[in-house]
Amino acid sequence: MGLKKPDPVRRAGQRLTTVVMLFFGSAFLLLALDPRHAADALTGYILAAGVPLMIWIGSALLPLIFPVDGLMLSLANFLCALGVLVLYDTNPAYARQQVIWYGVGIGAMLICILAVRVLRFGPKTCGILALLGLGFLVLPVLFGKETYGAKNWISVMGMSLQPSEAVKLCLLIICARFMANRRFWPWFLFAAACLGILMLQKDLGTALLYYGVTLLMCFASTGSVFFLFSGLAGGAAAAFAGYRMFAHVKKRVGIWLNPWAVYDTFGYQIVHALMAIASGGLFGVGLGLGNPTAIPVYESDFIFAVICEQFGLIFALCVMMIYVAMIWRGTTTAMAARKGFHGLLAAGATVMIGLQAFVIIGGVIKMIPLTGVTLPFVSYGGTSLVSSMCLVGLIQGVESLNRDNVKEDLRLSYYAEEAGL
Amino acid sequence: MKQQRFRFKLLALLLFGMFALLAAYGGYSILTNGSRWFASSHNPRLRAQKQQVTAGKITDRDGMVLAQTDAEGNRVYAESESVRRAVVHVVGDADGHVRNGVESFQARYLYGFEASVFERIGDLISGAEHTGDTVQLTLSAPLCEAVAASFVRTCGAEAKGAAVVMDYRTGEVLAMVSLGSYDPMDTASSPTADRTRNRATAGLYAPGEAFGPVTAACMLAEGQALPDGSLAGAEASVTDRKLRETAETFGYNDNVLFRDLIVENAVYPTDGSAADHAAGRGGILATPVHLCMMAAGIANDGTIMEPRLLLRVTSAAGANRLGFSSAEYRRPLSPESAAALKARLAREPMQGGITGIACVSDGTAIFVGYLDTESLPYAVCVVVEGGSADQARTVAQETANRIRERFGAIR
Amino acid sequence: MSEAVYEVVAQVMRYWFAVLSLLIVWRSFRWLRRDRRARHRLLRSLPDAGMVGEWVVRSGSKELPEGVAVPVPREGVLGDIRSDDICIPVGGVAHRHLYFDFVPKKGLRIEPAYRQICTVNDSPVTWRSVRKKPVYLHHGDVVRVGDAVLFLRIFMGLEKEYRPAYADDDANAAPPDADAPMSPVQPAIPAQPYVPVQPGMSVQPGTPARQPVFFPPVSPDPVVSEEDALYAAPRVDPSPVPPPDPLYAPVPVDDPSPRRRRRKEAR
Repeated sequence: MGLKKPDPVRRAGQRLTTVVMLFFGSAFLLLALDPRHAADALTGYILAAGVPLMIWIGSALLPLIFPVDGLMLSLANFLCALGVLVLYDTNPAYARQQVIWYGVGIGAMLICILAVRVLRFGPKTCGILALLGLGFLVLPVLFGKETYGAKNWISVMGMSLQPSEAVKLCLLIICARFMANRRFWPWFLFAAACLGILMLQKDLGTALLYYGVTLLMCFASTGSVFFLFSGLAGGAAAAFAGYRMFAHVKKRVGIWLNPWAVYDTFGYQIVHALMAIASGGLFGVGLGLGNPTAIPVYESDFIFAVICEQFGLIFALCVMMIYVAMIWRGTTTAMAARKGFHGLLAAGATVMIGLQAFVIIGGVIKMIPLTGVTLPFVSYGGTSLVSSMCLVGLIQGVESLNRDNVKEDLRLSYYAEEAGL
Repeated sequence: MKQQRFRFKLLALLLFGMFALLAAYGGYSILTNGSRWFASSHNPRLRAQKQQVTAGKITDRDGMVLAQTDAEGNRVYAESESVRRAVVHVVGDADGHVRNGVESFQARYLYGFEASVFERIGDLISGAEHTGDTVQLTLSAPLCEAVAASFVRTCGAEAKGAAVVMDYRTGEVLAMVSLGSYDPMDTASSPTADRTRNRATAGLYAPGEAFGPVTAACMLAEGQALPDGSLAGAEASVTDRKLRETAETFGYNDNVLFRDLIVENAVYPTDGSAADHAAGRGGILATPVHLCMMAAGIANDGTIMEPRLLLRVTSAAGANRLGFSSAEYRRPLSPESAAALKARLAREPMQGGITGIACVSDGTAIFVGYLDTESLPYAVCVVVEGGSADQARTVAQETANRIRERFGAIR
Repeated sequence: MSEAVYEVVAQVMRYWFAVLSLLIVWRSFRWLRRDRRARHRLLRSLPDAGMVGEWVVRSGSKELPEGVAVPVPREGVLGDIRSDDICIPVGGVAHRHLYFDFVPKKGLRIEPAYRQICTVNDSPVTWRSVRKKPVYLHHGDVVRVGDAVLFLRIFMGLEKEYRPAYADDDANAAPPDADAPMSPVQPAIPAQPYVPVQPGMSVQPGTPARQPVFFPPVSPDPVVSEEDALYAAPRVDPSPVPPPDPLYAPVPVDDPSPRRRRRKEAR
């Protein structure tokens, strides 16, 4: 530490940060001037100054103190700030809460980075995590309230928490540890238990996510094509059985196939989303214009439709490319890891972010049936934002370990050279 | 570890592929369906825009105003009631009784969504009110009026049916009339669903003998000779599969996504006997627009042009926003086959300078054909629910006469 | 600001936001690409990056003759196929025979795969026995895998007890101090000059564990894959300058791209 990064990289980081700051500064300023937002104009001006400041602190100052990965942090910052922007556009009260969660998320991310560096996450720790995770996950079944057909929220001290978002971190760590140690049953049983509880909660989207991530991590660690195909076949069979047995699955598939036919009952969500996306066109209707609040659940599941409407398809495509860049960076980190556990951890976190983004964007554009997952970083929701930042923290932790390894290699090779060898 | 690294790369590639699929699917579906989703009657943005923008005018091909906004902001339609009743299913109405009329389907022009930034700035500076674009349709209002009158004269005041007249060289829709109809400016009573339905685009009828040309096209493709008797002969010796393939080249079973119109899909069922299907029964359904397109294809040397309704769109200030363009829809016949079919059809007994098939199928009278004259390239389809073949033929002949009067002089 | 003016301003700003977003994506991907190039350059300049030691082959096969030293990464699998981290193409070695994993301060932990066995210093180790008691290898241990005999050298400074594998080894030199295990971060700078081991030569005790060794094998080395070549590439001449920051070594102005350089070296 204490070595200054030479110019090329620092300049690359600075250039990206400058553009991001410019983007959000101008966007918040524009919204603050909107006569429709006159009541919350003060919030707008504060955000116009504050969000670029937070981004700058995150991108320029934080790397000097903590071992963070500049690019990953910039991308995560961009998405989080985008979420705050879109929420301010539609409902400023949500934006204020989201900013607080954004701060908490940064803190959680730093804790995760340090955890990966310091803790070994041995089998005993994983056992404790498993018990905590299952306990936390079971809470909504016992105490939760049913919203949108799924019972996956609990209310703690006035805040709504979604345990499945937090437990996915436990799943990741447990799977990575036991897959790296080549022990099958511990992670399998834990994953099966989680899936069972999620089925009870009728949270099909998160169940799909858990299943997909576990399957892909298993394939990455064992390379067994047999496992992969039997997992896929099993998943398909379960989906088919679910379609046959459960009415709400049939309903979901029916809505996906032809939402206009059932517009009056269940299809109106996706119909409004599609109309919003179509209204946006290439460049959007303009920030603050249009009718984003007409979309149901505009703050969490359909926030992508709001982005398409306000900013247009070109910007939506750029948001997808940002997720792709995160996946790329996460994969590079996983590939450079020296230990199997760290590699699996980074890869699993990457797959989780990517798969979640795919599932929700696919649902919003009607490519796959809609499921109740949120868009990582962007959607309104404290637990969702914090857990996504934790995933990014895990990836950055592995990356910091990689950097330490490389530094040590360089130092050792330097000493060897000094010895004249 | 090396293998694990390789598999991480595979996972990344999988995710990249999934996102690429997402982008491709999203782009494709917006491109094809975007304008329909936007123009949907459920879209609250249209309603919101209506408050701020004076809706543009809709005119027919000669400039007769079919719909406009008056000084008080109300939507008013053509002056003559008979014209109003004749074009209401195409033009639509302000209350949204008619689904997919021009009023709603072309909302992006009528409500000024296509205005460029410079125009908006110009409007802002000059303080002018936002006005939507003027949409000029390919319809000829007097022709529509004449067709509707002919219908009523021939088949009675309570006649139900549809008529479509298309220019088979360019695809312009000259007339599209649907009866039972109603007057959009009669706010006293709300029209029933039966009267607001556009039978020309949404009415599905069994073609019966009017399916003959498709059967004949299939026989020609198989190298068989055309029968001397009715083209939709029961002795047609083609397999159902081949007949279906030929029908699909004519546009049956195709999920039609025309740029200017929303038309129900024509159906050729997967089950049923070949004999039934060759006779145009057994579950085959087509809209009058499809039947007109079929006749147009035969007359146009085997090429079916896509039906177009928009002739020109101009902004309120007069800038040209969209000109007329024609597009090929399908090419089901080679010119030789089309010529053979035309020769065969010319042998059908007909008068009034119009060639075609008149028949009754399932209680519905259908006439489908085209004008004999080369200089008047129009295809006609007339459907009369519960009528006789003669009635359908009479309406078609009177339509042909009217066309000759109006357009024969010009060309 | 009136609503009409705001509407026009917002509609003009749409293009601004679209351009900025494209710029953000472009810059992100450039950063990714720059890092990738830096990483490749670094791997090229550190041929033994991530290696904790090497297996010297005592008895191998035609493809893996005696004297070849195969580098040992921190964690991986040993087997007879090319995609394994350590490829030992000798009879009796399974496709995935042995998993190994370096544990700091303890040694190289090995775990035979399901139903495979190996011998460590003449005592058998099975997949079942490691579950009861994990096995850690140290510098100087000899492992027999299938028909291959491998002698382990660890760079990370772990010298516990020196155990000569062959009787005709030179027993003159005293074993290094067994009670002073070296910490990984403090490399031991050897007092005597390093003598590279030639094929056929017996291994001297007290050979410095620091020096990474890659001697050219007698026959062209078939086990080295393209990826290993990254690690095995000849090192660039070092300059007596403190080590630069890991991922971001300064770039000379006319630095050829990694691909071009690799082709140059291949020539």
